[in-house]
Amino acid sequence: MDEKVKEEASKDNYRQEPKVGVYVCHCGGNISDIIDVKAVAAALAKYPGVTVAREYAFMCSSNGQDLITEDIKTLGVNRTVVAACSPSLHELTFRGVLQRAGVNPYLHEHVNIREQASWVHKLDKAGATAKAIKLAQAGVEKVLRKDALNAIRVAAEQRVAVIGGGAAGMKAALAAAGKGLEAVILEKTPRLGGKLPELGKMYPSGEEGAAVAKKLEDLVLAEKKITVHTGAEIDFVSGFVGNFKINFKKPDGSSAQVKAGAIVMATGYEHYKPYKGEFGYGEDGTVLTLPAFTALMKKLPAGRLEYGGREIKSLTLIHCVGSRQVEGVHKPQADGKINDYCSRVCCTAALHAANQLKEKYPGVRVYDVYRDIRAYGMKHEEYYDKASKDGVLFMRHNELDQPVVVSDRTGHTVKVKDVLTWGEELEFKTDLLVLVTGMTPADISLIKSQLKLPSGADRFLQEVHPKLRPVELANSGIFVAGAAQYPMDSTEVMASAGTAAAKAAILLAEPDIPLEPFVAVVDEHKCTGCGLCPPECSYDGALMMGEHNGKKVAVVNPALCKGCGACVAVCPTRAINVAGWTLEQFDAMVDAIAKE
Amino acid sequence: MADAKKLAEQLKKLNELRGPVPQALRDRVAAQNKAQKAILDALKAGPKTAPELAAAAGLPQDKTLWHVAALRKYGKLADVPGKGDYPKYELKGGDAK
Amino acid sequence: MKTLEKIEVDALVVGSGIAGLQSALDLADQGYTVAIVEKNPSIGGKMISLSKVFPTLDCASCITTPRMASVSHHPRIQALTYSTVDGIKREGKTFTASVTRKPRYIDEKECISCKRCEEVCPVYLPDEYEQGMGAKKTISIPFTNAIPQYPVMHPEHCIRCGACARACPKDCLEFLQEPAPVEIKAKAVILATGYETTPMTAKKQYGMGALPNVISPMAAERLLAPHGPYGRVLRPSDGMVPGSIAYVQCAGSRDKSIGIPYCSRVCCMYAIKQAILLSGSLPIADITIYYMDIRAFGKGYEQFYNNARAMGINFVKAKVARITEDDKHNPIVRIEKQEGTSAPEEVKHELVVLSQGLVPACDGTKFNLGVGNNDFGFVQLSDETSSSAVTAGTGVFAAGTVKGPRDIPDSVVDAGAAAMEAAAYIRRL
Repeated sequence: MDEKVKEEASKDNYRQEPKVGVYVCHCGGNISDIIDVKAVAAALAKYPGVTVAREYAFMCSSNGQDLITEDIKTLGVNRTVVAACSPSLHELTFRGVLQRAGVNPYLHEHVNIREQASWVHKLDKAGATAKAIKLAQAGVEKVLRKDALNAIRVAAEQRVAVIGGGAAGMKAALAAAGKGLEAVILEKTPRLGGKLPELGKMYPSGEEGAAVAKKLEDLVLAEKKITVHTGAEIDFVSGFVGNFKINFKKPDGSSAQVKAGAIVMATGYEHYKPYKGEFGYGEDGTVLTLPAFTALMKKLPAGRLEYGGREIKSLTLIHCVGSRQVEGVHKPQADGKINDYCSRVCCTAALHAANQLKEKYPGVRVYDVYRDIRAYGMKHEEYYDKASKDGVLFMRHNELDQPVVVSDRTGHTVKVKDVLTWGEELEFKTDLLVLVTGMTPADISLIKSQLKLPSGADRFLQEVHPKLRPVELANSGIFVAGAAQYPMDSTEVMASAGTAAAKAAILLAEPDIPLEPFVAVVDEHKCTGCGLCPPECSYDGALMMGEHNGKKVAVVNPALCKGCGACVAVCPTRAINVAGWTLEQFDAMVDAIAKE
Repeated sequence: MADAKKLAEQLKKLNELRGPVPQALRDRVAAQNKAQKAILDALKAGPKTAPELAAAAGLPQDKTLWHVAALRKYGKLADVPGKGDYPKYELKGGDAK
Repeated sequence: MKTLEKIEVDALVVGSGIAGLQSALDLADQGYTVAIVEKNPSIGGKMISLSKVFPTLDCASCITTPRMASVSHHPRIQALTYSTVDGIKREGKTFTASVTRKPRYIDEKECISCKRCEEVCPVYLPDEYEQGMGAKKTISIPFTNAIPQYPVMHPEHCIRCGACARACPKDCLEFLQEPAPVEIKAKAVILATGYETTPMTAKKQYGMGALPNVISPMAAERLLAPHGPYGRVLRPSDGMVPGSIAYVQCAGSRDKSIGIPYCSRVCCMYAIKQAILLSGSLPIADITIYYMDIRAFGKGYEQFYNNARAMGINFVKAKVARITEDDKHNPIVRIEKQEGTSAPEEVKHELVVLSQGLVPACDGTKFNLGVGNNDFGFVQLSDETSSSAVTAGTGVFAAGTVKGPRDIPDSVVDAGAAAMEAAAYIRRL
């Protein structure tokens, strides 16, 4: 947004006589297949305070936006209600329309008649239409009582804190520094590189993980704008967009603090650790995870594969260990949930390992037990092909027929109900079992709880929207890079980290950051100074008792307040309101909905 | 509105530059008009499905469906609400009879 | 020839699909100026023509139109649509692109997008936006959400009746318009030229083109789209509501016989998505997906796949040998099952979608900027473990499917990273 637009937008439109424009969106057919959008527009056109009501296929499209702009210009519309999708999707889109047309962007109300009407009342079209009308009317009542607000601007630290010094963290820091921003990497272990050095030969480049780590580390260390703290133990993270504070302990025990305008969470993953007894894991030394086996293979001499004091003549890879788990079939994890997600990279990693194994130990018989081979990348099929040509024997099972392993001193007996041989129960002996383990997010519970970061059912950090805001967390100013979000391969990590840095750079492109003005506002005339509200406030320092004109009153720090409304609820004199969400507005909305 | 004289000049110039409108194009447009008229005529007797229209208009079924889609998009005919394997179409505005 | 129009920007983005749009926005939001060149009359690429997108099932328009609008309203972005990049030269630190604006045969400054020209035009044409299933006119606005909303005239289909000119309230028809040259100077170039679906010419036994009810996934998207060609799901041969629909996976991917050994990454998921949408609009239809492996590897994808199975969509592990049809144009799919029984079977369906793969739309090497391709014509990264966007051509970056198949979330993320690499490069100059 350029400067001119900003100034124009802060004009005081609210002093003018309110003229509400109501726009009902079809959302393709998402809304209009269920709701009679013409009836909604017609009902709203007659509603007091409404100057014009229209319906259109896609209000968010350029044409749809132009309809609003045109009404602002020609009809003098100065407040808008858009009845459409969720405000989380497009409220900002329409605020932008108002702003460009010279109307205060906060004189807009976004009414959700998709999630709250058409999608949930598919079988009751008349009822859904009636509900949409009520919701839109409540929206009109609300917008009529809105004030022209201005974004709260806070000075931002021109620095990005990157938590985690693996591939994602190093790339995010490099990208931010490339744009001229200062970056600070906080890495809990004594070295940079994360999991890279353990990875052995990486696909598809064929580089050693350690070499990739070194390459990125050299770039990081050569970059003057990047500060690295290894062995940093984070103990407290606080603040808000533009002004985060990360307190950590250095290896020597001393305390330090990083101030940053944005945080990139590059906290990575852990390999899934099988439970004791999962396919014999932890009970028998010849049951390994794939990462352990890759590390082992790197160390052992070529020719004859020996492990645990005996020759390994046959080896079996079992896929999807800790991934694609099935309710009722797999044992739940510690938190009671199963890992129902696919870990994305393990199929190719297993095939790649099988290729290397066959190169180094051509005599070893290799079995591969899988559900689906997900070799999705450009060259990944080649590994699959090579494995087949090398004589790797593939067996495929269905989700409900998991392979069974029985181990004794002579080795492991694997039983698979193989769909490739039309459901035959195959049984074979194998010397070494390699469990192709998936990924789980690294334990970042401390930071997550302190910053209240969202995660999904899969426990990975959860982006706001996979396509609209794919690396942003719901917490403003905090971005996610790499496998902290979901399993991904090294190139995908580069993309994810690069884009996380891009979003941080966009955020910090100006020295101050606009914050939503939806914060608590105290009416000093009504406030009796009773002191009930500060204990309810969850945000340190956002609401305290203070003095104004010699009177004891509640005082809000707008930069810290999140507008949660907890203080509003306990105020006995209705002296506190959240701007943009006042009690008066709610009263009027409820009245509109309840009216016969 | 276009200035009739200017338009005539432009079209004349166009004919000079590109030669006359190809006969194949003229034939195609004539066939299109005939097909559309046949479909719309058939609908005067009441709503019909695409195969019924094809039979009435003497056109292949897939071509008929394409014309139906065309006429539907440009507001000449409309869907008849209802279920069934073959949806029916009617003249726009329900002025079928 | 018109006088040369000159544009000077920080970055040139070739292509305006989701990757191009996102790269442009991510650069412009950091303060850089951007020119986008798009060969089609509207920005938005393939994504704008999709119905809904996996795994969230948001309508594609809901996600794409606001980005298109942001680009068109952005003070630092210029989008040249219906324009081709004829060549790009690098001299020192500057790229100079020769671009041709193709004539729309209207005065764009005067046009108010009223559509009257389109309404009165008497010549109907197959609409490529609807994959040929719907119609447009010789002069028409490309589609409802197109940006810009200018009509385009196709002179080769014009009978020169003059109806459009007479109907135009702004007198803006220009029958004698010529291509206009544009010179764009930029410091960095982002290639975001995207993909096409795999041609089925090498796979004749699947019947694409010969059998009317064997359709492409893009056609299926249009059938499912809210403003699709028929306004509902019908099969193209006769307008019947199909009661049995099959998807043939890996049609043109993982197939060495046609020179495309790689997995196209998106086909499993779009087939599952379309199947879910079909079972929503046709609740009694049988939907079958013939597949080798289901590759639901992205975030939330496995769960999406599980939902599809719970909805009763029939997943059959089978290879499809060929497709023929009966006398009612019902496709007959000959399958070799990989489970249950080994004998080949012939299964009759009423509509078949070939889950075509992805091939590059444009050869990244054609501008001779040092960019390299991989074996399959996709742009090759110079060092894939240190950057997802840097190519071997100095100052040339690649975003999205120009580097290989990827889905929309991956393309959006990828585009942001390309913008970041370009920004860092420009800053270093």
